[in-house]
Amino acid sequence: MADHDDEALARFQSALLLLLQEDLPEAAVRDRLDRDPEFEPYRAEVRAMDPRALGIAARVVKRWARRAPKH
Amino acid sequence: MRPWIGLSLMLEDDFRNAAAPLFAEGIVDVVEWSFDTGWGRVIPEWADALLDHYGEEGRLLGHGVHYSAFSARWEERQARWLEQLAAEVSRRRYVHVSEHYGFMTAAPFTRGAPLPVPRGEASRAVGRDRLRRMRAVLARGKSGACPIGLENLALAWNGDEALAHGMFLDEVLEREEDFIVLDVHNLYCQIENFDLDPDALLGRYPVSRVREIHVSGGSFLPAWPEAPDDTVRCDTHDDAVPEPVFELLARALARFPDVRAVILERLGGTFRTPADAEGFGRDYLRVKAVVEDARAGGQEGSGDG
Repeated sequence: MADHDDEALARFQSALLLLLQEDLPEAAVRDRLDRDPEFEPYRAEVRAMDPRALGIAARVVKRWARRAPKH
Repeated sequence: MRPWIGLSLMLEDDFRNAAAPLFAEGIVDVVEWSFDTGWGRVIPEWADALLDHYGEEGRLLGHGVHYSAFSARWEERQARWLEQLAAEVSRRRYVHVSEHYGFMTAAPFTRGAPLPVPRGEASRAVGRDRLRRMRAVLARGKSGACPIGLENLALAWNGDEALAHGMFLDEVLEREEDFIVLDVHNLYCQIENFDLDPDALLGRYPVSRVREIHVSGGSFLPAWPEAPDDTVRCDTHDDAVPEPVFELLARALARFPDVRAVILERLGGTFRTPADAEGFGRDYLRVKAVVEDARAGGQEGSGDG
């Protein structure tokens, strides 16, 4: 079975989880989304993120995300 | 045809106590089991017996939580998940198996909650690949090449994105027998949070794909800690089913004729008082009444995905 990985999408996903887990206020999250190059391939999608949706995403990531032990 | 009506099984004693009268009355047609929430845990005897019974009767639905079918980089954790799925389906026969839309893990995280993905070709290809891997495992088990479903998320990045979830799931599901699990409380979250029209949202889901419905409660929570009065509807599965969700269930049943199962969900550990347990029973009877009203005169469904 052929593996299907997409590196730009993987970097975007990692960067988004890391950002949302940081317990930052809304303005700081938005600023990082605008400036971090990992979000560049999905700039249009990121700009269209509703602020309240971002807040809830941050809430669930902080509540449920767990890192691998080696990290 | 009347869909099966059933419960999502939880292992906690408060759920057992709340659900016991419904099982005793013989009105639980089907059980859905989120099997990966049980991996590594001791399954109580009563729950094991129920799963065996419904499996042997051909009335057990599988629902994964932790696979993360849209994580872009294939993870060793997911390979282990598939190994455990193989053991699961070698023990019990499932009518069909579903998972969730979205990604919950990406390096360095190994657990999480699902978030929506950008709806481009990359995400489509990843989702299709992960479902193919699931299918290959299922084909070797007692369930055979059973249908695979994907459940819609409550969380959407904006209103337009919420309106596009259904079509995106349709694009990822490659086989005709594969299906969408439509969680009507998740739709309610999107309707509340983005001021969407219920029929416009339902109308964006492909009619022939919707073959299972989830019904649950949830709660309003502050989106950001710094603005505690600005609340958002969330799918916390920790409260009674609100009235608009019953109305959405009726609308969904009217729109989607191929629904084979309607499942009431509530997390174990969230029944705080005896009144909560009684309310859960009333919610179940209300779901049953809505289904029977929508399918008046129909025979019980085959539930074959």
